[in-house]
Amino acid sequence: MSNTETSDRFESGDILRYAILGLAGFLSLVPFVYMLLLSGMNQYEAINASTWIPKTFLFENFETAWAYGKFWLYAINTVVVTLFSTLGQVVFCALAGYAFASIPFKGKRMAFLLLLITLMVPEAVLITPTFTVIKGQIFGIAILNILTLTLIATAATLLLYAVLSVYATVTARQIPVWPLTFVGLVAFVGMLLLAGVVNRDFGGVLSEELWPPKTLLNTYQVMILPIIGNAYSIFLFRQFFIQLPDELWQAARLEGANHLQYFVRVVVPLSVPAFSTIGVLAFIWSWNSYAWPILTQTGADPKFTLSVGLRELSDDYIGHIPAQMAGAVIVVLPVMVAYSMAVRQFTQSLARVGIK
Amino acid sequence: MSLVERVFGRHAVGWWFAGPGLLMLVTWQIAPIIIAGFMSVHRWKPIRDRYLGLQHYTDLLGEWGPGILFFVCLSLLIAGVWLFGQPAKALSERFRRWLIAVILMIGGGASLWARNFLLDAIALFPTLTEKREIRDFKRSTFENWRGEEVEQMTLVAGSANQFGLYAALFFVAAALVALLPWGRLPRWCNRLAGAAIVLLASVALALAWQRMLIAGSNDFLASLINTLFYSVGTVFTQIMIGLIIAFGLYRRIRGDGLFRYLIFLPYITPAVAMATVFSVIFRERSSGLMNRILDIFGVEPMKWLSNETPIMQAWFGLEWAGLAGGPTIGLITVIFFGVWSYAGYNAVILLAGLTSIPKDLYEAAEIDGASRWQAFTKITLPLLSPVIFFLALTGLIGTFQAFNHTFVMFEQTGGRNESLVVASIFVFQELRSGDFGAAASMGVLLFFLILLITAAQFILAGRRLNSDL
Repeated sequence: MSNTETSDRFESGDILRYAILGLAGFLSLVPFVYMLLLSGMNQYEAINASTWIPKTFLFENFETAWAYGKFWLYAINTVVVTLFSTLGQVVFCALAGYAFASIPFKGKRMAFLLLLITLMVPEAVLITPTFTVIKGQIFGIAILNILTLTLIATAATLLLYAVLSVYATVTARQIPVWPLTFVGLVAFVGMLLLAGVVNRDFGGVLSEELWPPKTLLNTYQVMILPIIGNAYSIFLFRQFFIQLPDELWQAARLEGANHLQYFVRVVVPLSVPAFSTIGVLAFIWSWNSYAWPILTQTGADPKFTLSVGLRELSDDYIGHIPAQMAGAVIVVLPVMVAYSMAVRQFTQSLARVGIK
Repeated sequence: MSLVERVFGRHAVGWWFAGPGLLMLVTWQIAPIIIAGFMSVHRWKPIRDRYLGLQHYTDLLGEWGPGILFFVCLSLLIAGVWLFGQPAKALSERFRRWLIAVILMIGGGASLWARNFLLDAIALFPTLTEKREIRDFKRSTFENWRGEEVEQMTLVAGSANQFGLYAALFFVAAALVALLPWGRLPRWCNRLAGAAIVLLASVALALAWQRMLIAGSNDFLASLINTLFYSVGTVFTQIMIGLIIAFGLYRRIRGDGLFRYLIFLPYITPAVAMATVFSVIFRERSSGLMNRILDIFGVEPMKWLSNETPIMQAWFGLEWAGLAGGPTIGLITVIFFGVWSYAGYNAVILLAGLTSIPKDLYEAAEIDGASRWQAFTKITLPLLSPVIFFLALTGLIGTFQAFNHTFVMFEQTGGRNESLVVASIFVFQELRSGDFGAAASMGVLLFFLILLITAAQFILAGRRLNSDL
């Protein structure tokens, strides 16, 4: 941002500015305030609009919403899905973004074109074939399970590597990072395989229906996998990484670092705003996902997320506006907290992408 | 050379980095398009059945002719507008000449084709009563027609016949003239050819659309129109409002951090929850917030979301249907939500564009005696156009796939207000009804439409685009 000079001098245009901003801010806020007010009213007040502000703020509505169905279970489901999809999206998209920004390789232009095309594909196109795929009609579920395992293993490798190399840097010790990572990975995959083969020994933790799944309906991974790869995130990361000076990489190379070391020890610490921005974005996208959970979580033992839970709530409490609003507050609140934590970096780094 | 490079070769590093992310993209976003193509040519209800060929597409678009004509005319329209705006020097002479000739030839073919369709449509008129879906169409269009009007129609048919023929002849002649070894073609040739093509393509587009309505799936085409209204309405309004807010945020004033926080808030809040809130705000009872506000101004309470009155009828009393009638009040309520949630995002990105314009340009303009309005139109808008282009492009793509809030609001009307069914909701419902093949074919059609729109935007405005995008 170049307009950093905050001036105390009052300009004639400032009245207009305050008017515009005040109106816009007010209009942005009204639905939230209205939602909060309604969530505390009783049925009579909400339907007849006898008051603007509830006489006594009823927390019963929140209890109704929370107790409805299994809202706490929906919350756990949402957290699991959001956590893993955000983590996966940030890790893999950051790596891909780095490759597009700073590594010359064959086929880069074509891959980038692919990326730009992906930006244009509407979800309405994807939803039918993807649903068919996860029902196992196109190819076997086994392939998708292998894909899941590969992804988990890759993510585990990278995390192990990052932790070990940061540890080595901080303590200034010579650690055989790659061998240790390899050992850790083998142990990890072994554990997973073990869990898959002798799952009964793990009791209820990894039961037969959890792994390896026969169908992907009603599972967590079906909600996580499709949103990990995101062209927009890759693109955003590329825009950030492309701004880092090339001299950094040249210096690191002289020190004998490879791309992964450079990425973990230099690029990541320098790009905290990028990571927090895309992290929050991925969090919000995942939290908001709606059509796909409705479609895939059906029948017995569905793993509803909060958004879908809110829909069920609105269906069953169709006239009970306060309960609906209380449910909406429950869905909105965590996102507002996440946003409030990263708000400054968020608006600024999004802005950077628009002009580049 | 690092270990990875030594083992796998020089280019492997990049692929190792980009691989996992790209793999996820390919498996979940590229491959499904191909699978969708495969599914759309099969009967797939809900498991794979026999090969159907292109029947799903003909069910949607009616016949092949109008469907193809529709897409050809859209492309022609884009080409015409593009040609109209081309400066004479932009292209090599020979290329330009051939281009004009080819486009004119296509225009001639299209006008012949359109003439045939018009004649067919008129020939079809007496038999319209036979097909059930057609009856509604007939009722709306031909309801008041009596015998003498049918005679008039025959007259119209005759003149259309001649007009189409002459138009085709004109086009062929013009194409030949354009190919003759003249000197440099002046710019008005571009303009003339462009304008003629735009005109004829529009007429042919309208005719093709009518034909598609007769024989194709009315619900799907109506959902396309709703999507168009929603997209254009939302994107246009949110960029305008975003520009105003960006102006407000441009100078750093006291408390702008708070305003920025508030204005950006709608963008990040879960659409499902806020759409529920919006449908409570816009509920049809007089106790809804919006109706109470209207009451303050002495306006009668309205039905909002569940209102199926087209805007032309609500405002001007014109009982037009379809594209001419404009969006319904219910759809406008959904547009309100779209604008509410995206205006802040647009403002933040436009603000970044505004601040990147060097200040001395304005100072120079001021010295030269330019007014504020002139400074805005001559400096701000041209320099801001890449940002606006970016927002319009991503906005159109985004609104074309808008699902969450539209679906919530549609369900809040009890699923009764059909004018809220945008294309993505339509596909979703088709999918849930178990007809996977039809849903896939709709998806593929949507994909082609978006490709066309994106290409149009790039062709018409893309040369101003920053090459870095």
